[in-house]
Amino acid sequence: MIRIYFFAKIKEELSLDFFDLDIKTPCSVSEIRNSLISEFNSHKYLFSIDYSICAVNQELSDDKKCVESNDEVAFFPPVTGG
Amino acid sequence: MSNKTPTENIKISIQKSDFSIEKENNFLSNQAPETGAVVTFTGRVREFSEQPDVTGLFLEHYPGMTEKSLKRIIEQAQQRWDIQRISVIHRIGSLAVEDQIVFVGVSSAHREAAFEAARYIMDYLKTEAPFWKKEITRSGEHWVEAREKDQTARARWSAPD
Repeated sequence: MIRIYFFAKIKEELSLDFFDLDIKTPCSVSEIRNSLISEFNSHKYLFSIDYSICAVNQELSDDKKCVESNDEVAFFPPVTGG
Repeated sequence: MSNKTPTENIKISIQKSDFSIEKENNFLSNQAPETGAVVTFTGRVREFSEQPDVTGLFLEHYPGMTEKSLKRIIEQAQQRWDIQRISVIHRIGSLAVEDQIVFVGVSSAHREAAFEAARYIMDYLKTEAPFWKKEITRSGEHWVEAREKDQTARARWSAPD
């Protein structure tokens, strides 16, 4: 199981700050993405690679990144600060 | 180049409250005779953005990652330019039109380094630091979409000289 944190529009659309995803570790960011898409099928666009960014241990990570069970994982839309 | 800027010369702040440009200017110049240039940028909430009639903004961030991300951007700037002091402030929470949102200030011996480093930090902050803006308008609220032009501005810095 991995706890996935959500921010901004993703958090708001799902009304969830985080979700405990039942997935075997180690796994890739891409596998997490696909599991989130099945889990939240009515909001699947939120987890498409064109829409959301994944951070692992607070570092921007691509879909090949390997995730371990204790890693901090977050999904969020492209950033718009400044 | 080795990191010549000690930690006390770097200020990163994520805060709800407003900031004073004068106070930051004093921190950046530090009454140091070797400081020849202080460049500061202040971002403000404007009335017309994606949609007209913006009355305010709500700013969300990813606590922990935000600070880490800004620290890295600053370290990269320090490797490129000879910088004396740096201050980066970003406000979060609810803001109104005309409020200050973001501050980036850099001091250096010469203006070129200060101008370029301030712009570099701002360009990376806009594309990498995990902040999200929601605009509040008279007809509702919406999350601001990321812009291509911000990616283009950042890409400039990785282009070959």
